[in-house]
Amino acid sequence: MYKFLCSIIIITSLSLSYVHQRVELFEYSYRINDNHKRLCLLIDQNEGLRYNVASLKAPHNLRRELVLNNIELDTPQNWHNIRLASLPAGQAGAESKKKKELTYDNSFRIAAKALINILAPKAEAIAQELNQP
Amino acid sequence: MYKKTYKARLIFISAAFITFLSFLFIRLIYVQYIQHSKMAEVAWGQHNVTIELAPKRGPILDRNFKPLTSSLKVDSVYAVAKDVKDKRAVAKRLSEILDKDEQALYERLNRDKQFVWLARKVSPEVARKVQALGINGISLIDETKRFYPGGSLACHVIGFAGMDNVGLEGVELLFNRYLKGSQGEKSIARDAKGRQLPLLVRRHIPPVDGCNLILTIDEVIQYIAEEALEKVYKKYNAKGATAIVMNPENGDILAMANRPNYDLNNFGSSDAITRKNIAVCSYFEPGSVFKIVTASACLEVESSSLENVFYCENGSWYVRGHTLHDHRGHGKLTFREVIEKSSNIGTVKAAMIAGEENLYKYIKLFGFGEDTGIDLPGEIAGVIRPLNKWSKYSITAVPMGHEIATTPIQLACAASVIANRGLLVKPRVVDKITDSHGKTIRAFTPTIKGRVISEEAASKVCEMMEGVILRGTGKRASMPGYRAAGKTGTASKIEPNGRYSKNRYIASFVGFAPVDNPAIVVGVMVDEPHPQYFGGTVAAPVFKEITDATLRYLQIPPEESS
Repeated sequence: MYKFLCSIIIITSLSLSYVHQRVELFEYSYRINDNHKRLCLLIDQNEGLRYNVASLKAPHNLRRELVLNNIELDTPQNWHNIRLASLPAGQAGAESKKKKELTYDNSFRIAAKALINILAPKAEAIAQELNQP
Repeated sequence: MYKKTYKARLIFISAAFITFLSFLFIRLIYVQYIQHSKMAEVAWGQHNVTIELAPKRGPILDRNFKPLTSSLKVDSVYAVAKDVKDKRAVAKRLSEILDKDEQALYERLNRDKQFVWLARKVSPEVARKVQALGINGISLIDETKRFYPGGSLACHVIGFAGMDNVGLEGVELLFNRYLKGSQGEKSIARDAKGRQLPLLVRRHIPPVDGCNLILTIDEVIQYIAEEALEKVYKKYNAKGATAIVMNPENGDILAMANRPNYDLNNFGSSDAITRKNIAVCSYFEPGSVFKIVTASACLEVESSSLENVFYCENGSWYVRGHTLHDHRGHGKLTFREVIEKSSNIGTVKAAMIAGEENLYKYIKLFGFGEDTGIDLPGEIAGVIRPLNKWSKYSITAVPMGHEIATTPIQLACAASVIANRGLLVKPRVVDKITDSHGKTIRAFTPTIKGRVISEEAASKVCEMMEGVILRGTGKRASMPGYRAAGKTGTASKIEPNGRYSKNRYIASFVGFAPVDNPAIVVGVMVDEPHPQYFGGTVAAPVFKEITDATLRYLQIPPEESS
């Protein structure tokens, strides 16, 4: 009798837990479904926003915005381009070598150099016009 | 007695039961065995739902991967006719929102169908209004619709996809099988309330999204060409216009613009004429632009050199039974000057020396009379009569671009032969096709069709074409900072009576820049401009505007001395 009751209880418990598990699984699957729908909706919204960005970046829309804001742009003409004179190749190499050597100087020299750099006037870039208007 | 009656009743009831059970047994066999497959199908249909998974149509991108198309979800309105109660009233209410005929809607609602479309792919506002009505039997369903952020930009190249997301024009049509993707399917169990149970997916075939189509078109250069073309189209009240920007080295079409044009987002309101891609689907007599082919032939066969002198009969020459005219009378001109000043008489004389066979041979080598092979639908080959069909007048007409019909793309390719030092390239609009993960499925490599003329001959023709801009009829094409080469053309159109018109012309200009290392070839054609109609006046400034802006956009530095 005792064994019979125990087995009935065990079987009933197992059955109930199985049913509970299945119910929970279905509940979760409903939630997954809802989340999936929400994800699809967000993806669609993202696509819509990407389209809006592409549309705003489209040349005719940019042009319209420029006109609305009274902004006039033009491509640079020859005299707008200024070429900076570049250092000769050898000197450029020497500069980088010198910079390396500084790292091996003592800290006092580095600090003094930094102070001089701050206080002393710097060399100006040499500008050379490409073409005369 | 009693026993007998009892036995009889027992037999009767037993027989009745046995009969009834037999009937049930037979019915059971019938349902479970004979009708098994049908019943199983019905049960499947009740417990499961099969959902079609629509693929996403692949995007079309420009050469810098900027999107030229987008596929977005929109709502469509449908009705389950049997669930709609007062059809007349519903049709009336919906006709105001959907902007459709009330009677047409009423007829649809009266159809003996479960599912009827009322309006496809409506705007979000319309969808909201329909939903707000809350009419039983009227619902919304998701569909995808193709949108074009550039509006009418490159409309003739891109084309459009129709209501069912099938390409109907342009590359949308030609590459539809790559763009459409493939449909998927999902069979999923549903509960008593009709809700899907993701846990019980019976079958899942995921959809395959469409491939990405990467064009050679540059969105910015396309816009530059469109703007320049729009100005000339409006200024000269033209019937049509086209502009092509091409890389002569590899045949990449950087821009292809036509007028009239249309908004791809509203293609339904355009007609077939507006949608026609003039650049590849229209031919015309090229006129003087064709002289670069004649000059190439003459120089290649060495029948003429740049310094050969031709007497241009002071502008009027009676030859082979009719009179040939120049626009302006000239005396003696070198061959170089013949092209610079676009003398018809000088060109015909040079062509006569070269001979009909040679001229015809090089016309064919330049690709006229056959498709260029560009990857756009509807290309036509133009018209060039076979040599054995030439009349005695043909040699006086063909060298100056008459008695021959060419498409704008063929002329651009011909100019690219000169720019590319004698090599003919196949024009292309599509660079490659990649899948949704970016892996290349198909690449369209540049194709060199062959050598048409020698480098030396090409270089001489290039000199002549540069002279056209510096000293000749194309002065309005010259631009500061860049050396350019080109040729003007002003061709009379043919009237219905077969005679050349005196007031309908096609103005054209084709050229390339920079001369030393050509980066782009630009071809411009304006149909029936007025009041001005000369190629040098109408088309040359368009060439200048497009070329100047494009070279600066491509960051090709201006030459120090030009």
